[in-house]
Amino acid sequence: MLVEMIDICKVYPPNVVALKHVDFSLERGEIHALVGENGAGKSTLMKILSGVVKPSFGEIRVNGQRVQINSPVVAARLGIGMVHQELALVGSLRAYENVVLGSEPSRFGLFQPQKSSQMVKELADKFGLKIDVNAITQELSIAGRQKIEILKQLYRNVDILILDEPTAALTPQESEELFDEMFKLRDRGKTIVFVSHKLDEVLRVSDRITVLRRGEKIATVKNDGNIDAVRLAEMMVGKTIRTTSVKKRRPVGHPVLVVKDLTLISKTSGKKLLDGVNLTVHAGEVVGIAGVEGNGQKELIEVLIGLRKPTSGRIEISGEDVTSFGPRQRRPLMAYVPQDRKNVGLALKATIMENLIMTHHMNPPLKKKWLLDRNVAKSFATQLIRDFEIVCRGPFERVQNLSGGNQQKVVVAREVSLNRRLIVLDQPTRGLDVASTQYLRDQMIALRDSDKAVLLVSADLDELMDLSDRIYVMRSGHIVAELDPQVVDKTVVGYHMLGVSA
Amino acid sequence: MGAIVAQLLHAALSSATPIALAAFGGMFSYHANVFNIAMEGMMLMGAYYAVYGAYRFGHWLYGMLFALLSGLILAGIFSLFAIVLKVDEFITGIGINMLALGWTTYSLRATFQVKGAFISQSIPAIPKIRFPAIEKVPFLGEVLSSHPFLVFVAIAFAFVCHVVLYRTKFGLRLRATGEEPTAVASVGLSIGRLKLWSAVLCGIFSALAGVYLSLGYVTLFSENMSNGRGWISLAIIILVRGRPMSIMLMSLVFGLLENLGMLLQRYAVPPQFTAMLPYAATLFVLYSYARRLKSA
Repeated sequence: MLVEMIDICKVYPPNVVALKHVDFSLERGEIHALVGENGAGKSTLMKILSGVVKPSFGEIRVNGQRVQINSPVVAARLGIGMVHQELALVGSLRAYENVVLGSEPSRFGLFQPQKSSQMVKELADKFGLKIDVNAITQELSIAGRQKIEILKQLYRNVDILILDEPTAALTPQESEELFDEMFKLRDRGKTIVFVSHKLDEVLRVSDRITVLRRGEKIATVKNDGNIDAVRLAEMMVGKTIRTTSVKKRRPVGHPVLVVKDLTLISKTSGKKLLDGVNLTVHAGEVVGIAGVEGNGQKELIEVLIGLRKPTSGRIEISGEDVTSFGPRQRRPLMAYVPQDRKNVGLALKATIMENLIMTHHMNPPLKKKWLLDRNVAKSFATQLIRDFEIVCRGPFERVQNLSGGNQQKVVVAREVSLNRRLIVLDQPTRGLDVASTQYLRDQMIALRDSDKAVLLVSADLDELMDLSDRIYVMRSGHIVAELDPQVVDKTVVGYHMLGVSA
Repeated sequence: MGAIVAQLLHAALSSATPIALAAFGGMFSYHANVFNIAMEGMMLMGAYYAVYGAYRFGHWLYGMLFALLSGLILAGIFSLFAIVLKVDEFITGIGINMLALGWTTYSLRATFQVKGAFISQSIPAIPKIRFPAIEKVPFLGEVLSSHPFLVFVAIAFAFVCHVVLYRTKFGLRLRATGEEPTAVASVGLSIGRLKLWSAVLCGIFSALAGVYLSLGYVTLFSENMSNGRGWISLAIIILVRGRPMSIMLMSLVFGLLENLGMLLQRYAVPPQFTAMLPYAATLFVLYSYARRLKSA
C-alpha cells in the first residue's frame, strides 16, 4: 500500500464534523476516484493528505511509515501533490516559469530561461502533456493552466497526484484530453486521485472508487464492470426514509413568478450558463431548485434578482414584466435571502437594527422627510427580534457578534417582514446548526401557508424533498426535470442531477 | 542656442539622477506588491547622513557609508511595521517620511548648531568624472562631462535592475510574489522574506539618491532638501508599471521639465508658473496615459 489514511476525523470548531472515521488507501499506479455530493468531505480529505488542512484525529502512512503532513511542502517531499480547483499561477509569467518557480535552474543567481524551458518541455513530452511551455500563462485556457499545475507537481517528482474536480471547468473535448493524459501518467507509474461527482467520468477512468457521504466513507469498490452509475448514485445520495412532513398539501394559487425561455450567455467564454429555462412559482407553494453546484443555479438567481441581464427570455413577477428592471426596481415585488449572508445579506459591522431596517427605511413610517425616525426603527427592530427569536443582547448589538444561525434569522426577518408575494431563498440553511435550520424550514412552510410564492435553491436534497411542492432539477444550465417529491424518490432526483438514467 | 540646449540637458541629467535612483528602489517594492511610499523619507535621511559622515570623517566614502546605514535602518523599521506586524503600508510610509523630516531637522540643529541649512567648505563632495575624450566633442561633451559619478551609476542601474528583475531567480520570485502570492507560498517560498528584501533594496537605493542630493547635486544639507522628489519617483514607478528602462526615461523627462522651467525664468516668466511646469506635465501625462488605457 502506497498511502494509508486510517480513521481520519476532522471537526471544524465548534461543532461541524467534516469527516467521521474515514479510511482511505492508495496503491501504486492506480487512478482512484473519490466521489460524493457537495459537502461530503472529499476536498477536506484530500486537503489533509496534501498538508493544507490538519486532521483532528487519525493517522497517515506513506510506504508503511507513519508521517505528519504539516504543509504542502512536506507533502511534496513525500511525493504527494494536489492540483486545487482554484489554480494558483502567476498570469504574466510564461508557462515554464510557473512550473520551475521556487526551484529554478540557475547559474550564479542568473535564471536560465532556455534550460528551464527545455526541461519543462522534456517533462511535458515524457508524460504526454500537450502544452506550449513558452506561452504566457494568462493567455492559456483553463485546461492549459491546469496542465501547468500538473507539470508543477511532476517537476517536483510527485508520485501521487490529487486532482480536485479537474473537469469542472473543462469542455468535453478538454476533459477527454485530460483523461488520456491521466492514463499516460498512470502507465508511467504515477498514482492519481480523481475527485469528482460526475459519475460517467468516474466510471470511465478509475480503477477503484471510494464513495463519501456526509463525512463518512460508504465504500471503496473496484471498477470492474460490476458497478454502474445507478448503484454509485445510490451510495452517494443514500436511501433515506422521509422524516419530517410538516407540510399539508394545499391547493395552489395563481402564478406569481413566471420565467420564460431564459437564456444567459457568458460574455467572456461564450458558454451558455442558462439555456432556455422555463419555470413558474404559484402563490402558496414552495418550489425547489435541485442540482449539483455550478450547473446554473447561481446564474439563475442573479438574473432573477436583477444583478445580471439575461441574453434573452422574459421574467414576470405578479404579472409585471420585470426583465429590464434592476435590483432596486424589483425589490417592491420580491424578497431575497442570499446565499452569502456575511457579505451580501448583512453589513456585519452595522447593528442588528440597522440591518433589519434596510429596504424598510425607504418608506414611512421609518422615513420621515430626509431623516430616519430612530424611535420607530428601534421598536420595529425590537419587534422583529422577538418575532423571529433572534438571540442577542438588543437591537444595537453588532451583527458580527451573532452566531451564524442568528445572523441568518436577521436576514430572514428583514426579508419576510417586507411582506412580498415572492421570496427567493438561496441555500438558506447552509452551515447552520440543527435548531436554526429547523426554525428556518418552519418559516418557509409558514410563508407558503400565508399564500406567498417561495423559490428555494438548496444543495441539501433532503431539505428540498421535505419542503418543496415541486422540484426543478438543473443540469448544465437546463431544467432537465420537473418532479413531484410526493411521488418520486430522492434517488430519482439524484439521477437527474447527475445525468444518469435509472 | 546650442549651448543653451546642452546646458539644459546637462542639468536635466543631473536632476533626473536622484529621482531615478529612488524610483529604482521603490520599483522593487512595487513588484513585490508592497505599497512603499517611504522613498521621500529614506532619501532625506540619506542626504543628512551623507553630509554628517563626510564632514565628520573627512571623506565622501564615509558619507555614503552612513547614508546607506540610515537607509537600512529605515528599511528595517518599515519592514518591522508593514511586513512583520502587517500595519497598513501607507500609514507606515507616512510615519517614516515624517520621522525623517523631524529627525534630520532636529539633528541639524543639535549637531551642527544651524537652522535651515548646513554649508561648509569642509564637506567633501563626491568626485566628478570627466571624459577627456568626449569633452572635446562639442555638445555631447558639454552634456556628459563633469557629472558626479553617481549620475552614471544611476544610468548603469537601469540596466542592472532590468537584469535583476527579468533575468534572475530573485526577480522572477519577486514578480510572482506581487502578482500571485499563493503561487509563491505553495512552493514553499517565504513571501515575507521576499518583501523584506524589496524593502532593503528600497532603503539602499533611496539613500543613494540622498547621497547624490547632498554631496553631488549640491554640497550642503538643508531642511527637507528632498523636496518631493520621492513622491515624483513614486508617481513614475506607478506610471510606467515598474519597468526600469522606462523609469530612467521618465526621470529624464522630469529632469528636463524642471530645468526648462528654470530656463523660462530668464525670459521673465514668473517663477511661480515655471515651478509648476514639471507637476502640470505629470498630471498631463497621467491624464493622457489613463485615456489611452481606457480606450485600449
